[in-house]
Amino acid sequence: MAIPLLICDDSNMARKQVTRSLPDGWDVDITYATNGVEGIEAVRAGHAEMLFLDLTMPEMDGYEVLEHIRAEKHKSIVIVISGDIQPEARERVLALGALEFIKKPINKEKLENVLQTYGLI
Amino acid sequence: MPYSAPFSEDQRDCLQELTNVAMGAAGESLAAFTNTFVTLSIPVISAFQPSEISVGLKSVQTGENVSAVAQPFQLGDIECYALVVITESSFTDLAQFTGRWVDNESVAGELLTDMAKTLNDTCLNGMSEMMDLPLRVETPDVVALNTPLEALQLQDIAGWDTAISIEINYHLEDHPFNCDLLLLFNDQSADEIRMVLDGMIDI
Repeated sequence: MAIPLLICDDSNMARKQVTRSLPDGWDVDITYATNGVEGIEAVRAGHAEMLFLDLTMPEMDGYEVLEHIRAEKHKSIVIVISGDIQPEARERVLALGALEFIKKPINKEKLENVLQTYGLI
Repeated sequence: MPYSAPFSEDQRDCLQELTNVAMGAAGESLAAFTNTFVTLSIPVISAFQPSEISVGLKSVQTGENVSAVAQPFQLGDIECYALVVITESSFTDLAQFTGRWVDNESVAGELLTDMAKTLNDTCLNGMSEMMDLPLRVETPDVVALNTPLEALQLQDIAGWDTAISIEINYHLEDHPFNCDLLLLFNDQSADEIRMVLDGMIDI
């Protein structure tokens, strides 16, 4: 069965780049969210067994989304994809429960490496 | 007459996203320069009369005096300016983080220029790489020291019909430090930027 995958990023281009970077033939059912508020709603609606999450977003940022996911005990596997490459940003999102951090710009190789490392594909 | 930035929704989105990635890399450089955590925000694209630069500097409109460094650069044939503006109270932070004693204008200018170079080098190299255009940077110049924001002028852009800007704001967590990196270009450069963006959008 297709895996519910949520891609949450305020940039249309970034959402497209993530979509293009998905492994070929990966059976996913994609939902898109354009800010953190839409993102957490989609998580609550069950659209995010996996979540690819940006950090710098309007309305609600990625850190807050992670806090909500943790507080509400959702089981989403979260991979943060962000341009904020400070080592501390990575530490903070991992502490908030994200599985991994990928630096933008994303590409197929980076994403597949992470998915393979964690046995997700 | 209200000014509006000459980009379609797709172009604006693309420009904002690639700026976002470049500013993230520059944020890391600033974090290393100051030993702090840098809070990033979403870049803002504006257009205004060249004599009203403060319009593009929304995040540093705090009523405080500002200091600024301008650095001309070219991305391919596209002529642009990087203007780094910090509020006066940011200076105290900056001096403290870098362990420098700022007791005269020349030291202040040097500290400001070093910080601007740190930000600009990383940010502009990032943009150059993503846009696949060669980067050439010129020497940075202190254009304001402890000046009211409204009085801030850039002689080099005075002849432009319109100034188009991307405002990139950097805050340091738990500190008053507040800095804008403003990328400035004119209508002709905007035409060329649009062509590059369209090429990126189509891929």
